[in-house]
Amino acid sequence: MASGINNTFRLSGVAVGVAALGAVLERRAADSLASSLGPHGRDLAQAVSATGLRAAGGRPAVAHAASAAFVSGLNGVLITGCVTVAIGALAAAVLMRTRAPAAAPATESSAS
Amino acid sequence: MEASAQSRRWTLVAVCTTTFMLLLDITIVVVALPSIQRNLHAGLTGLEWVVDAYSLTLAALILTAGALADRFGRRLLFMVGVVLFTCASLLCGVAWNIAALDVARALQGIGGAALFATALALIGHEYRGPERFKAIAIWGATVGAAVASGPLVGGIITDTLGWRWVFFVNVPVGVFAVVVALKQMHESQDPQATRTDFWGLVTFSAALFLIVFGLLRGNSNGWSSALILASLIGGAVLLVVFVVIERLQERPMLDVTLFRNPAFLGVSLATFCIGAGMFALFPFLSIYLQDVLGYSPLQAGVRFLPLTGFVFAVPLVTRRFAGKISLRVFLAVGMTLVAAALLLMHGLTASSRWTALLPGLIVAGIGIGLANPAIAAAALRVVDPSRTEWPPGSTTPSA
Repeated sequence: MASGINNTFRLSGVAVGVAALGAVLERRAADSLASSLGPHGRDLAQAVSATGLRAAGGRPAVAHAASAAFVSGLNGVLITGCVTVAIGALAAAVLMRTRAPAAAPATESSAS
Repeated sequence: MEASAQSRRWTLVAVCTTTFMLLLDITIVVVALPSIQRNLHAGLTGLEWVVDAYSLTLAALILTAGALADRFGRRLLFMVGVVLFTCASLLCGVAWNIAALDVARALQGIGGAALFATALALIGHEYRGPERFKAIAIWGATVGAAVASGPLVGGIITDTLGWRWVFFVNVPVGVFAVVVALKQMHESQDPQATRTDFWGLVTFSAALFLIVFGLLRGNSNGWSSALILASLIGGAVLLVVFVVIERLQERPMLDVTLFRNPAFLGVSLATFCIGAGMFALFPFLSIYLQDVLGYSPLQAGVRFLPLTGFVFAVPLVTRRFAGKISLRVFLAVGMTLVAAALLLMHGLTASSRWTALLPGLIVAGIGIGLANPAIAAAALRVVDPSRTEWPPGSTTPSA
């Protein structure tokens, strides 16, 4: 049971994480393209997220902007991931202070 | 006597091979994503579903699959899982568009949950005493090896045979496992198993699906659109309903009273966060290495090795300190290292080389290697406080 719960939390984290990090990436990439290519950037951002970086279609300047946009998005993903994991570290450090699961729930006095 | 020793060995081999396949499938696919995208003309959202359809169904079903196995028989559920997983793999391999692949991946997750939930119970039933510990240790080593070698194997297969073979390789493994299960495995059940927590399963799966759906579609539909708001709020409400249902159930799929123990709550939150912040990053790193830096699948797979290598090796060293250093320290330090690693990788520019990622990949590997066994050990200790050893197989199924 306990290891099942463990896996449930880990995999739920992955499922929600991929969706959330993907949303951050798309948003940041679109913003980056809009600022580097002007109004056309939004359209290209749509195309990039719909068909991948090859949407730039061989035009070097556009391809470079698309790569830069993806990298900008990835930086956003890394920061989001960093904050998420740091929250987890904090949760572990604070909540596990009561001597790791005691035999009897004698340490339950503190309200959280 | 001879026959039963033989059946034991075959059971162990079959369980280990299927576990290897199941876990390999998680990492192997990450490396194949850019090829899938090109070949099936998929968008980022479609690709994210390739990962999410699998992890979502696996997450939603793993507890229920365990309960079903206890009730109807572990061998039976193992076989159902293998057949489903193998057929779904075949379907993944012949997928004609991204939607078909995503559906097939969800089916794979359903089969995978049955395999995953029965693996340890099957080994535990065949082996007794010190033999059991040795068998479980072998299974644990298999888990570690699958995680460590996944990117490399994925790269080699995608490079030489193409992404479809990432899925086709599962078919012979599945056939082998079914034959072993039919001929060698013994059936076992838990006489105390009771009714399945149907409403718990429904509310939890639906909540998870709605939240993931809302996040995946938010950018294209608009975050304030009725559809997105409805699915995100609906998901949150269903999660609350789920907790209420679990409190009322006599035999819930998730015993929520465990969370009254702050330590267990802490471990669970930490586990969720490392999944969401670290393991969920791999698909994006893989796309970056291949689409932006122009590496082949194999070259990208090789570049993940500094990370997966440490994930595999660190627990071998830290095992010696199990019971001497508190799990809280292991987990908090490990996760702090992972957070620091993500910060180290941050700051990429369009002209960065992959070596800009290298320090971060190494530190993240060490951090995950510290955190993983601590997570598994802490979960075990809630059930049985006398246990202080590192549980085997504590490497992640998701890295």
